[in-house]
Amino acid sequence: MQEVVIAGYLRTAQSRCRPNDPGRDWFHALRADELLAQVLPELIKRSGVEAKEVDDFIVGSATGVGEQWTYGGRTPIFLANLPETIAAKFVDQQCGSAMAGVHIGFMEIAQGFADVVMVGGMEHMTRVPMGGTTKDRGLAAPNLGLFLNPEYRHWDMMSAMNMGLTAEKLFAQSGCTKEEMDKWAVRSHHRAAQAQADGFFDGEILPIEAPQADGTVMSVTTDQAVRGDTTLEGLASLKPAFKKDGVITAGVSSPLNAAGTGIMLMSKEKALAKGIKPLATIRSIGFAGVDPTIMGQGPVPASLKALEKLGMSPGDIDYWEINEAFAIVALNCIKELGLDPERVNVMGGGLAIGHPLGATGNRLIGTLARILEAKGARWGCANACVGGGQGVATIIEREA
Amino acid sequence: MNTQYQTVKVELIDGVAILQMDNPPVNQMSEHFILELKQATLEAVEDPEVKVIILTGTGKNFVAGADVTQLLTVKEKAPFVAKLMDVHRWLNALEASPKPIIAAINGNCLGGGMEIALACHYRIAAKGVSLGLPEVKLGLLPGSAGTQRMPRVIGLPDALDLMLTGKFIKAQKAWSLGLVDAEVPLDQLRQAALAAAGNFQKGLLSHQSRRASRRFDRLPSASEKTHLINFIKAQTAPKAKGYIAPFKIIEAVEKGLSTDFEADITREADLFGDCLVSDVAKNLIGIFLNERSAGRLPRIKGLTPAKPQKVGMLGGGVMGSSIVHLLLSSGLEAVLWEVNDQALAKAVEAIKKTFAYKIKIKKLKPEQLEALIAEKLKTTTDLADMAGVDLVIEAVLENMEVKQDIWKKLEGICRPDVIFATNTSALPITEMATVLTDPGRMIGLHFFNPAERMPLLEIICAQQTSDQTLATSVAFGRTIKKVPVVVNDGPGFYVSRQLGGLMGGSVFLMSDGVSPVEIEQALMDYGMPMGPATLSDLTGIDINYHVNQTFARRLGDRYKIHPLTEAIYALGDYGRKTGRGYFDYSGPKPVPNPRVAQVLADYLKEHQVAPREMSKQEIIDVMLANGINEAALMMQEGICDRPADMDLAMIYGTGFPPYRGGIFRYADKWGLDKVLAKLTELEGRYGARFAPAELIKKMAAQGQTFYQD
Repeated sequence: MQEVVIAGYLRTAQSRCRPNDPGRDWFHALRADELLAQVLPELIKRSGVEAKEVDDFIVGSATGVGEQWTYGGRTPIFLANLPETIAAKFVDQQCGSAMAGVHIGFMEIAQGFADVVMVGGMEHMTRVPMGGTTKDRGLAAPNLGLFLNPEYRHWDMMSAMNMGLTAEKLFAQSGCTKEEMDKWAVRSHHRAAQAQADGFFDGEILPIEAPQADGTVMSVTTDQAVRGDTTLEGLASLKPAFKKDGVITAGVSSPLNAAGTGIMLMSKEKALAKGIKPLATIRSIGFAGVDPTIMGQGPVPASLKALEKLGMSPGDIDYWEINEAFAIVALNCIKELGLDPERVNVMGGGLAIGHPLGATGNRLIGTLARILEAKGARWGCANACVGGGQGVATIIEREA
Repeated sequence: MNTQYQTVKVELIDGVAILQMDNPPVNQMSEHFILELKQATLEAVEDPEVKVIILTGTGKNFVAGADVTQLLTVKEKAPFVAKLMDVHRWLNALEASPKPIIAAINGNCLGGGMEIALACHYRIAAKGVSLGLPEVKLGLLPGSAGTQRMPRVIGLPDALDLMLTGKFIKAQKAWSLGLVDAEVPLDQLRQAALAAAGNFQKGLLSHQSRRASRRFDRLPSASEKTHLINFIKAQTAPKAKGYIAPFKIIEAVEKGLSTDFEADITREADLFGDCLVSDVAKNLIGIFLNERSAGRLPRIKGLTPAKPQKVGMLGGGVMGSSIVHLLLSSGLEAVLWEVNDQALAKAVEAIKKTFAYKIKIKKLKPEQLEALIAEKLKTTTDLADMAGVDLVIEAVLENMEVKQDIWKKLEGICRPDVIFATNTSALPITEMATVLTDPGRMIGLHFFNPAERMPLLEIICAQQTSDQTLATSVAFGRTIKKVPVVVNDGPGFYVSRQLGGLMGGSVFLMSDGVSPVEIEQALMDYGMPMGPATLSDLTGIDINYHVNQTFARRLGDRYKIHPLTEAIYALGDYGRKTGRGYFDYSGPKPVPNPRVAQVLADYLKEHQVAPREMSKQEIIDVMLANGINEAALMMQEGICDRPADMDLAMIYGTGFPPYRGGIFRYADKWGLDKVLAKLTELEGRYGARFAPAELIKKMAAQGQTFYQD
């Protein structure tokens, strides 16, 4: 088995999406594939490879309909004018899509079927709204039997397809408090704002020239949803967003976002031959299915599976990137795996930086690799919960 | 809520208000109807007992568009735009309604009707109904937010296609585009609408996410929009020369489709106003109205036309085969006669060829054509087989004796009520009818080549054509989907003579030193599909020469053939059929024929005329003055008396630019006093051909116009 390294990571900033008020989204006039197509050539360049050396391109998105349909992963290649010899595929594992792309690329290289695999992630939640809207317009048409046939009642699809309700359910069984969630959200925004101020994210964000609603063109270089002035009082005053007597507010839920993300995977052998210094080496991957009505617990078994393959325990990991689809997902993971919160999402998480669904996996892994580098640490684990009841995890090692 | 409306029937069923629009005859958006509909819908929105609203139509129409007669009266832009903004506010209120509104599209859903449906949250269409935004055909743009809502619902490329062509689409296509949410048989429409209402009430459908103005997911990105608009502009520019609306539609989407819907629709209303007060829109609306009234002559009012089911076709040449195509396509039976089996076989092949395009675009399968021919077409070489037909159309050799001989024979074969129609393009029909015992049964049905595509049917009354024969012929024209225009017998009837008049000025200009290429270009720029030289080459310089001879013989010295025409005819280069005419067609592109150029140069030298520059407008003035004079002459001779019909004939028969409205419309716009002055000047310069018609002198003196609107 070949060792697989991360040779490069690059993304756009993550704009804040508003399907009902598009003009406020910095990226409203750009498609997700256009964002990604700007990232890919620069990622290739910064990774130190030639475009023609890329064997495969795997692109993930949680909503591969409408303008996010990619013709088998090819349209981003065409838009970026990359060589036709790069094979492509589209992956949908919902919020785990890009991470699934990394997993597939990892396996392709590890088994010797490829040397260089580029993984893309893209999502634009203003232009291709998620959930009910997609269903209403017939773009997503889950089998009505799942909702109506008593045979399937146990799946409770109405809850399973409403992420907010799954978060409520996870909260109810986690033993966490609402205040803990609010505090975690404040921490996420403050950490992200500090990281922005320190210029940490500049190393992973490709500036994008984006037309704005007022006719100007803005160079977008920062994540739009980060709010350094978020307060506990402010968050505490928010009303429940998903059910009347609930606790999950917009403040403890990740915002809607748009972004393009990319990671370059390579065999260590090839990287060495080309004199490329990798960001990190991928050591293990994990994926797990859970109750779809409590999808937020997915990262726990997924991470444990990945750790088990290495004979490691959660305490062996130096830094964690846990996708904050909801604050409760991170808190539950910390609690169940017994993690030190100070080792988790140290540059802020999805609540602040954003969660462009299918594109998120690359950011989690890429940012984690850069955190390991910044901290001089060795082991990292990135994980995410997945709508429909899944979890994905990736363990990486930075070699000095 | 109030249920007493004149044009809206209200029904309440378990919290669902069904509003049935009923404004006969076609649910047009007349002012009083909009007022009531607005009131009824807004009341339903306010009524606490109403949870869901269903909007539907009556008979064959949901709403068939605006009342164009009202639009025609608009002279000032600002007050109309203010009214239009009221409609916008109403549609916005419907869309923003806290209650779902379902459009149950029972019939034609066009123009303003389509725009109402777009403001609804859910659209169900009955199978087979037509939907579209045809405003561009009237020189307008969809002015009730159609340019802004349609692209948001179906995407910009498809929306532009609908708006720039004005084409109608059927419900199934509308469903595949995402324009309607469901397509159901008409008899299940109400049930389906009620079921959708139930789904909204149960929360299975959400109307908030279905507000078209708030949708963003089908709009192009900034770069996509730039590329698409540039492409569409390049594609539209040459096709829409002379028109305004296509460019305003493009402007509406280019500057619109933003995140500020209010600004977008305000701009659209303003652009609509620009179109509405333009001459182009007035001309196109006029044509639309004229088309509806074409052939509805006082002399046939009240008569019940016969409905020919079986039509005899004499001759299967170019015109005959085209006419058989029309008959078969209209569901009629045809009996085709030819002189021998060989000619018949050739004719059947020619008929099949006329269907080649329909087969290519998959509107017809080859086996369907074979079945159609087997079922509906009978071929014969025996005139006796015409015994059972209801109408005979003749398109045999252009020879009076041959034709009269056939008619005489048919008189003994066909029933006395059977109409005898000749497709002659030159022979006097009154004379042709003299061989018949009942000359009242004879009429001219002048089709234009290719008959299956050209929309005009010029109907020529001979002196003794009976009213019943005319009534049936007009009805027959509509059956085969032609625009029937009725004229009286005379050399060239109306269209050929009028076209001759319009193009006839060119030889005088050439003899005055104006380049034929410049004349050609001026006519093309004016909007004609081709100039006089290209047209002559196409029809044949020899044919034109013989037609002119006939005109000169029958109409007098005014039509005496110009010496330059004589000289060009004498060359023997007769046009495309000989490979050379005014142009030489031997290369990949036609180029001016040097032999004609030499004849022209010799003529100018001989008459000591120097080549001269003339502006395109001056050229057009000369050509149109002659055309208008010819039209007036035909009116005073009694060949025609309905300017609206005559303008239609030129538009549909010769490709006269619709946005100019027609020759009579152009004359009115120019002013008959100015036309008279121009003709007088030209008579002085070029002679009797331009001597002003008495009618023009009289009308100019009295300040009259051809049109009375």
